Amino acid sequence: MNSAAVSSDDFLGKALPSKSPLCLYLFIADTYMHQFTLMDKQSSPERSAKDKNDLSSMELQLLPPGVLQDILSRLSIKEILRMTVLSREWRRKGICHPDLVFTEGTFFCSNTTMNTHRASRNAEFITEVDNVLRPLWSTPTTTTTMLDKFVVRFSLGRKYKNHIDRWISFSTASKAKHIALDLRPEPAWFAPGYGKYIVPLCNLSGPNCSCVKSLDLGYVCLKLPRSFNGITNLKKLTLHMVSISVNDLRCLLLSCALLESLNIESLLSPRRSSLESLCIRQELRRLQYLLMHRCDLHMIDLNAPNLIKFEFDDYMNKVVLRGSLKLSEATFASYRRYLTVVHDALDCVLNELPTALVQRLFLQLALETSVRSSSKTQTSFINLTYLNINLHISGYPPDISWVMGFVNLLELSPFLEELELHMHPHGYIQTDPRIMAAVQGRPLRHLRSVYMTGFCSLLGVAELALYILGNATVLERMVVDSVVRMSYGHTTDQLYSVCRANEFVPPSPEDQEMFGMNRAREYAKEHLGREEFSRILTIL
Amino acid sequence: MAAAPSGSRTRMVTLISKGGRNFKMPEAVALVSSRSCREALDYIEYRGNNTMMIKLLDIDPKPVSMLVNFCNHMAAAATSAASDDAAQRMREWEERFLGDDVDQALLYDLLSAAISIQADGLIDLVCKRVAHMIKGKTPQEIRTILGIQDDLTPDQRDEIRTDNSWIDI
Repeated sequence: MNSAAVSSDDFLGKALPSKSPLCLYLFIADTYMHQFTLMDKQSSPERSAKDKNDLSSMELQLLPPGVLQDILSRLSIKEILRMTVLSREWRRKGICHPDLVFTEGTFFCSNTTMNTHRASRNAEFITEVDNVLRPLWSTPTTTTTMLDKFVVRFSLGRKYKNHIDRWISFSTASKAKHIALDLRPEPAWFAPGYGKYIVPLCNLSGPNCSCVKSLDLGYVCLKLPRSFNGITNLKKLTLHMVSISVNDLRCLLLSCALLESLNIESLLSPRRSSLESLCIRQELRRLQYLLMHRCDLHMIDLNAPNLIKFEFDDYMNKVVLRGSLKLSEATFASYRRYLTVVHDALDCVLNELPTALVQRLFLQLALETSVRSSSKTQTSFINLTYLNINLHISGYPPDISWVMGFVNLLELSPFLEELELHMHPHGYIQTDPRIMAAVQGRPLRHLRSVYMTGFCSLLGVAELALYILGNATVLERMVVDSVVRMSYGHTTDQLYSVCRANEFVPPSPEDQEMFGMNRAREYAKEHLGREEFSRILTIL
Repeated sequence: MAAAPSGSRTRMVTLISKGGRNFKMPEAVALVSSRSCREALDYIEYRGNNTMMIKLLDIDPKPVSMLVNFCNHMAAAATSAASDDAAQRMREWEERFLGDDVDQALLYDLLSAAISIQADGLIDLVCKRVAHMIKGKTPQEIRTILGIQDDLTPDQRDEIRTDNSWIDI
């Protein structure tokens, strides 16, 4: 919206003198720069003359760019392409859908056969994108188009460097706020023959690119030029399978001073001989969301005083967050430990958490229950109100000591209000004939709501449920579901929680029978279905 | 409908259309509907009981009166409770508002008026209507609707035919 010509003076009734130079400038500006402000009263004689002859005319091209964008954003890319062929004026105007998204689905929907030859499919994609963009280039380096989003999601390598370079230049010239270049190969193991595309960072930084607010890069190579000034207004950065040296990553984070959200997945560092550390002593003042998954680093050490949400896993050996006193939500996933037998697994995890001040905690763990464990953690989680554990359980426990770690955790979280324990037992669960051992503990004075899924007859599970039922003095509701709702996968975006239940597909009734979930339901009813719990307990 | 305070204390905002016709709306309504009014009123230190007058001398009386009508209706709807029923009634009212008697010239003038005082609600509604008019039409049909002359050069036609062959010019 061009509000430059609208001032409060106008509202108070001071009319512009009819032949002032300002009006003349606005009139010329209208013709050559396609900017039109409706407070310009000089153009009205022209318009009303036209009106008298042609009542059905609607000079859409004279509207302020913001309003035209509004109309165009409601049309599809193809419909807008149709509008570019209406007349010379329309072609020259270079209008475009404000969100340009190019994926496999954009061009290869109905009319293409499964073109197995990758190279020709790539060439076709590139040609189609170029066909859409070519009319919008008024000169090789400038365009009048204004974009909100420019997204390319297709597997391409360094071979197509020239084309991709041009696309990036186009998107920055069009003042796109969100640029995504996701070149991840499909399937994930396939590597393009010529190597990864190297992003020309110099084209993304500098004064011309002050509009870029969000950058999403996948399967590319980032090399910082010597005089890199940062991407000034970048607020959100996402890197998937990006090759970048740790030092370059450090410089990148320090130079983008307004960065609020950082999401790094599968960080691949060129130097794999030794695992490096990402240590940034300077404050990252604006950083609020930090997600690091599968980053092969020895350690990260960051100073982010305004960090609100942190997601990480055990690919990193050590995590140090300095001064993150506002951290309210943390998610930790354990992948590597799944393969090794680790004593006191829960302890290790809890000690690794960079701060005990979180309010909401999500954990994805794998436990080997046949190893006797003891819990020694003493740190209290005094702010914890919500706890969600996705637990892969394997092994045959000799006793219920594996459960004591969780009992300990509950007792160290005195203000816990909601607990979700989702279990995925691996292996055949035999109903244990041993007598139920009671678990003693201290009262849990704030626990209101408990949800357990994947309830099974493994020794310890029912004991844990009884412990909660017996010690949670203000418990309002406990739901026990014997169906395994967790997914088999080990990535944190697959962490199950009750509010995201509709994103997960439950096992079929046949699978439920085969994996003993129906038997587990009977077991739950038998051992937990006591009269005293009937008001709060629901067995699904 | 929010009850306007009685007596001469109600501050009004007046839009003046072509031909000097005045259309008034209460200041509260203008503050809700028009971004420009909000910003302008921020700057004004003292007005006493003066009406703020906005000159839209460019625009015919009919679109301006429709604009004021829209603003009043939106402000009233905003105060009543939100419900599916209310949303349905709003949609029906909007359809009647931009009914069959609103031709394109009037639509465009209405859009101009809304843009002048940055009445986002009405801009949104008209844009929706214009997009709806363009959707699914061939280029020739769009040219008829918008009254555009087809003045493409033969070179440009060839270019389009090769680049984007699926468009029938």
